[in-house]
Amino acid sequence: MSLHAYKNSKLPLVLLYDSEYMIRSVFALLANQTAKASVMETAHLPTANNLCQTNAFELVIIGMGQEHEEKHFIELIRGGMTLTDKSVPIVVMTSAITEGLLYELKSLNVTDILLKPTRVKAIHDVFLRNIN
Amino acid sequence: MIAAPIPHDEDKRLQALRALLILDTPPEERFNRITAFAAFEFDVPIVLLSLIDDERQWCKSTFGTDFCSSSRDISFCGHAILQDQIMVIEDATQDVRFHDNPFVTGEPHIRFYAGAQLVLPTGEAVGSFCLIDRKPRTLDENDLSILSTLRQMVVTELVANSDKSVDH
Repeated sequence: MSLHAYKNSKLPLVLLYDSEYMIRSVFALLANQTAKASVMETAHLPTANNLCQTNAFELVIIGMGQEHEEKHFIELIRGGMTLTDKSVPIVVMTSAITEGLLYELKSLNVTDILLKPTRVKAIHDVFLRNIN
Repeated sequence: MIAAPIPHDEDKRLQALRALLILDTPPEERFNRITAFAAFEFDVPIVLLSLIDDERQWCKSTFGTDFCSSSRDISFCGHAILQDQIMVIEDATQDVRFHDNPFVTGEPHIRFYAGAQLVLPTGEAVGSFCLIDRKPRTLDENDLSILSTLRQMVVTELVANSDKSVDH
């Protein structure tokens, strides 16, 4: 879908940032085929940041890497430093969760935490819960 | 057992299949990653990307089995290509078409089968992308949507292969 088409779509706009190609492409295609959302997906954090500066997403899904550098990205959103509303639902996918990380994510008002490897169906369920 | 009927457009279908230049080619990562993904996503032991040739079923990609080809007469996928919707057999032992099929009575002891036909942009159903389990299963509406999405990814790759073959 072109950027023009995204911006003229009446569908909820979703950002999916994750390193896993199949997760990104299957969820984006699924949302498109079922006409439930327009999904912008990327494997690169700077691109995700840029997309948030120029689009008002209604749901942000973030695949967390080993270094947890995505936390700063979430802080930017929650701090109102992007075009996306600072209260947007944010879903985090992570391969491990510690008490410390859980506390940090909760303090950033992360809506849902999914453990990796994540099934598209789980992402889809969370998406439906947060968009409807 | 009921052998799959021959589609009315069989000649055109076979022509389209062979134009893909994919039969009897080696496994490829671009297909294998989709079958592996489906096995995880649906928690099934076996996934096949099956193409229906004139007298045989041949698999371009498999997960969970070394199965490569079989007679078309006994293939589940031969039935799946005839259906507009995804063909779901929740328990093959209870289905008149398959209860005495050798794949049900013997290895791999199929009980559950879900096959999404692979329809080319020109309309021919050349095969199916299917999930297999050794125990009865059901799929809900979201499962079917995800399977349909994976099927579309397979078709995109099949056509990409065809375009590449023509261009080069």
